[in-house]
Amino acid sequence: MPSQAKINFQKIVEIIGENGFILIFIIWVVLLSSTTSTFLNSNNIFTVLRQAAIVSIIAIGEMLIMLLGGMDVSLAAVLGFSGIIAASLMVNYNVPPELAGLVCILIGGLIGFINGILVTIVRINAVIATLGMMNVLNGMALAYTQGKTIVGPQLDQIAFLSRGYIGAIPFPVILMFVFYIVFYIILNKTVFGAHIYAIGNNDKASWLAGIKVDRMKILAFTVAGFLAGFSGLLQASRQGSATSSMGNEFLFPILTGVILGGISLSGGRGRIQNTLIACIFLMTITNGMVLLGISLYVQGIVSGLILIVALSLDRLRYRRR
Amino acid sequence: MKKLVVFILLLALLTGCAQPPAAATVAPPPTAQPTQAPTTPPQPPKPTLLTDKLGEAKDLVPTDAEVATAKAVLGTGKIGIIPCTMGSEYHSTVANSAVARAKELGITAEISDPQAKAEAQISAIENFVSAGAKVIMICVLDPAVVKPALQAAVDKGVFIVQTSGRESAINGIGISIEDADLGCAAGELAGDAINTILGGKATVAILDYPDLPNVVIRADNIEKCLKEKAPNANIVGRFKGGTTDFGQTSMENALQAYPDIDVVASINDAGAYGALTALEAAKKDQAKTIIVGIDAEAHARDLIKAGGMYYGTVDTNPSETGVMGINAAVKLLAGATVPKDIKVAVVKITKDTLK
Repeated sequence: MPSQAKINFQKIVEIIGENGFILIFIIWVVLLSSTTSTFLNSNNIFTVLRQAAIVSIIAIGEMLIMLLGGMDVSLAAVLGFSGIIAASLMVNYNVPPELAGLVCILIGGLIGFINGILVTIVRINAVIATLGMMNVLNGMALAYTQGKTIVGPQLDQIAFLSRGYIGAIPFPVILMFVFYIVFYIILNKTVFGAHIYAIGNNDKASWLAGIKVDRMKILAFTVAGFLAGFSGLLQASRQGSATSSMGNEFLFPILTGVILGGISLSGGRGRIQNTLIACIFLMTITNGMVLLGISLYVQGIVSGLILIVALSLDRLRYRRR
Repeated sequence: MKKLVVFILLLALLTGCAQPPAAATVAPPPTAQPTQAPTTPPQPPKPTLLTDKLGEAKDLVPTDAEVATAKAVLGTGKIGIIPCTMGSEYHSTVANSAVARAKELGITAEISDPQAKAEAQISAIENFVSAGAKVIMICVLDPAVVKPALQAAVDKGVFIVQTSGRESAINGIGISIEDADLGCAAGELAGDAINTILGGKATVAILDYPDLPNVVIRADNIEKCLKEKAPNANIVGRFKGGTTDFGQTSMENALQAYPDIDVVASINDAGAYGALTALEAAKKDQAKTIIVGIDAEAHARDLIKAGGMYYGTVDTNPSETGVMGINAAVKLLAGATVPKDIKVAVVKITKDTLK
């Protein structure tokens, strides 16, 4: 018969395991709140949320694919390429922003669709297929821009998307929450969502149960592409310009956000709300280190350690099963 | 359907295999090719590299005879160009202007893009040597990383032209603005602006990019020369820049910790653009906020002309650097007497100089 102390210890481990990175996030927030005077002011909170908006929106697409047991490493490149196209259409061809934005999103969707075809019909491993696509897109971005910055006053027309406010709340923050609410409902309250989880858990059983597995995968890649295309538009708006290297910085935070949020690499498991929290957590790490005055030259060490600890705690729950 | 897709992919792959390598190749115009039967290229005459003086652009301009000798020595070989990255306006301009100059002279030049990865430069060097390059023009990202590969190339008789510093031009010519000079010029620009516009007092943020050692030298010298010019300026810290997104995110965060920041000195223009967006979003006074960058990109010049926060930039003369790189290659191939170290003039750009 286990002692009371042992039961208590197990409960603590269970709680820590269940909440994993969120616990570290809370500790980090408490630390920043108690050691800096600025972290908890609304201006700083909105700054962090605004910074998290683009990564977290594109992370929804990555999460859909990872829930299916795949992985798309081209999404950051899709963001960069589609953002360049949108900016170029507006600056070089005076295309109205609505049309440029639509083209940008459609291009993202088309690339996602091609990825889906490569993975399901051509049967290339998802990582390999999207790695190839990433290189193609980065190359096309470079060839198209010739390394030059695309910039012009026409981009002011889309500034509101990432720099505007509704009341006191930054517009991209509202967008971010809207996307998460919509996809929360899709994943948790619709047949589509149920099928995503089912396929991720066992695609053969899902197929035997009559779920059109390949069609669902193509759809997931396409949706991820649409989201990446839209994120490209947001990033062009945020920077007020577009460069060939625009998407390069996004791959690591997207994957980190989704994995830290607890989406299983083998698919079928994970909560969308945790992806959002993880993306916000990532932004607070960078923000917090600046507020704490940590030297730029050791920030990498600190952020790496925080992530390792957070991931280690999160994995406790899987070890216990 | 599946068979059709596989067939199309196979066809695409086969077509792709039939294409020349992805590197941007500029073949010499047909008229520039010798008409006689191919012969063994002559052994290159050994160049004399002068180390007693710092050369200038004019020292590299080749004579017609030197161009002819260089072309004969090069034969079917080529000049390999390895920029730091093709993803920034400065570096792509250096590489593209070098290619254009090579084309003008009837010489084959190819670019291999390492995408700002020092390790990728090793492969690029090795590939160029295998492909018969006789000169490698390189913007060295990390001298220590590429040193063995460059030494191996030199051992096979390849000349090196370095366009980012001088320490790696083992058997050749170093053409560059020293990063220390660049940083100092930017620091002085910022210091002058602090004295004239802000009365000598300012809260300064420096945008750095610690991933690359040579860029850190730039940031060190921004700080040093800014403090020399404006000793009462308070430098609150270094923040990650280098790209527009990093510059913007860092400045948004820095403004939370130090809302009084009114001067940003950046190691390049790309990072400074991001800082500009963040400072504008923070509704900083246009007349009392100063941003200084490096590279003198076209967009930076436009911003400076417009007269907002973007006070100045440092012209690194990328087009001229590319031309000088090819000229230096020609001098080396022709066995000319030429200074080993060449200085590219640093020019401070402000609204006044653009008038």
